[in-house]
Amino acid sequence: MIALERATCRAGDRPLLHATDLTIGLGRLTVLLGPNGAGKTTLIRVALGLLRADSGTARIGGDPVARLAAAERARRVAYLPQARPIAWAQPVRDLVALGRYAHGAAPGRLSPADAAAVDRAIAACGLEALAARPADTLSGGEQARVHIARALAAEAPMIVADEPVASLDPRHQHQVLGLLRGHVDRGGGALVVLHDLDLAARYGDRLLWMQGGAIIADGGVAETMVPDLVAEVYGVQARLVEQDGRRHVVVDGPA
Amino acid sequence: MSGRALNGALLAAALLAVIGACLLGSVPLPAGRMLAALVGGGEPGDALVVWAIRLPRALAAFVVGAALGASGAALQGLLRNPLAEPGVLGVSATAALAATMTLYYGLAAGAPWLLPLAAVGGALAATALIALAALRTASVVSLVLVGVALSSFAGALMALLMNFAPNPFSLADMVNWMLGSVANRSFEDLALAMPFLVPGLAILFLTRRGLSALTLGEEAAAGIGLDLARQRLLVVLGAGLATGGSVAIAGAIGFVGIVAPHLVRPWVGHDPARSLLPSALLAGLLLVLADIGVRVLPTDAELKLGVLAALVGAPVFAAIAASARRVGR
Repeated sequence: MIALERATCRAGDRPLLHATDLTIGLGRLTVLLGPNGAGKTTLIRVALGLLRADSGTARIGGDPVARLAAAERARRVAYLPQARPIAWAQPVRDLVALGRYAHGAAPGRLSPADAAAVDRAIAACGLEALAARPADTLSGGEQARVHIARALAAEAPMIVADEPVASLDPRHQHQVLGLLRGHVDRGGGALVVLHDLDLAARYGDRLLWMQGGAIIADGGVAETMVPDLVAEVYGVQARLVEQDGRRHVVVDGPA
Repeated sequence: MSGRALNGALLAAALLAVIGACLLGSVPLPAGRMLAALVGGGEPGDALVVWAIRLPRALAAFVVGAALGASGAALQGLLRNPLAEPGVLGVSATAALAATMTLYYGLAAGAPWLLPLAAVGGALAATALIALAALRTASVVSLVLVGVALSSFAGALMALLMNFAPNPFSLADMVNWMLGSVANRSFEDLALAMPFLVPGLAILFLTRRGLSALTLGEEAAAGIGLDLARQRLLVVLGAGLATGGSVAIAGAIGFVGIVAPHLVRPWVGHDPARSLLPSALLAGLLLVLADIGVRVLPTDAELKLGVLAALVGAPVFAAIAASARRVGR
């Protein structure tokens, strides 16, 4: 679905992304891991064509992103960026409706199919009671769910979410990742940036480890969520605790 | 109230205000005679008063207001800033400066279309500059400060021109452009500005779905399928053409482009797209009413429309600035 072919990106003469080959398909929840400044957001923006690759190619659904119209790209991939401002005090339902933008809809101008998709997304995120509330009265957790609902409403096969659980409490972290997991279990794909290794081990099918603008490891939880790699990538001492057939990661402190 | 009902009510109110404006003036004209003249009958003298003086003036006020209201609503949507407006951002002042230059150098006398062209050029340059500044700063306040600086700079150059004004007549002309007025406007003046106003407004209406998308911020708006570069270009172009056209008719009139969208927003669910048309209609209505006010206020010399707009609009601007809340930042 999403593919990078020898894609690079640089800011001035500082490389942000070294030549990267990558394919991310449907049916799996792929977690992108790495310390701040490792190039995770750059990789996502290049893959989506929001940032031009300096060399190499980014493709979505086989088509080079440079030749893909913005609306067509948005119908294939729903993107939840890291910064999530809401400029105006619009009601929740109108914000979720913006997820249908690439289908030609606008708040207050929804086709029956658009309205149904918006309703499904609102129900999936448990926002029914908040649907008429203005955005400026929502808590951080509620806003995060609104953004997830907006991404789900697009009903694009692939969801790319950059730190979707940042600044959320544990319950909401699990809720948001549960929603993304559900999307994948229904046959969709997801690429999610996470900073919480335990959450990554719990929800991820495939882990991509980035460091210094390059992917240095790529594999399942069992193979790659290991103390050596955690120490190499994050510079922290980590322990694995196997319990009830699930791998937990405990970070003890700086390595 | 639905959007359609709101637009209908505003349009009806604006029509009534225009008819009301035709009733008022130095020559008393009863409603019956005025209406007869308006539909093409009545005495020739009445027809002259209505068609040559009062109607073009009222329509000029409406058109100027509509252009400023739509430009304000669109710029606010693009910049996600409730304080953005052609007047506050220095667009009107720059357009007025460019228009004044054609007067100062005596160019407008030979080629009447040169003045609107200069006004539009000034407005486009200023809007593009503001949009460039907006790329570099996400802060509401610093963008308004850039606008204030631009406004002051245009004002300073205007003062310079007035300083060197060759005679008191051109000085009075320049003061008119700076303060903003629709007095003594004719249908010819309107016709000269229409080739800019109409396409400008049309372009702004084409961008309105994109303005809704921008409520999520530029990155997410691009993510849901908005072509950002195209959206920026079209809003700058549309607002530049519309504001320039309005300045060509009336000079610089501030604050109406900020007050109207602010009043409209709660009625349309705070959606930038749905606030565009009612903002234009309400701003037009407000300026027609303000111009009636200017004419009936018992002042020695007639108050300039732009002065009244600022007297009412500036306190509202301050109130909006003080209460502006931002979500999710």
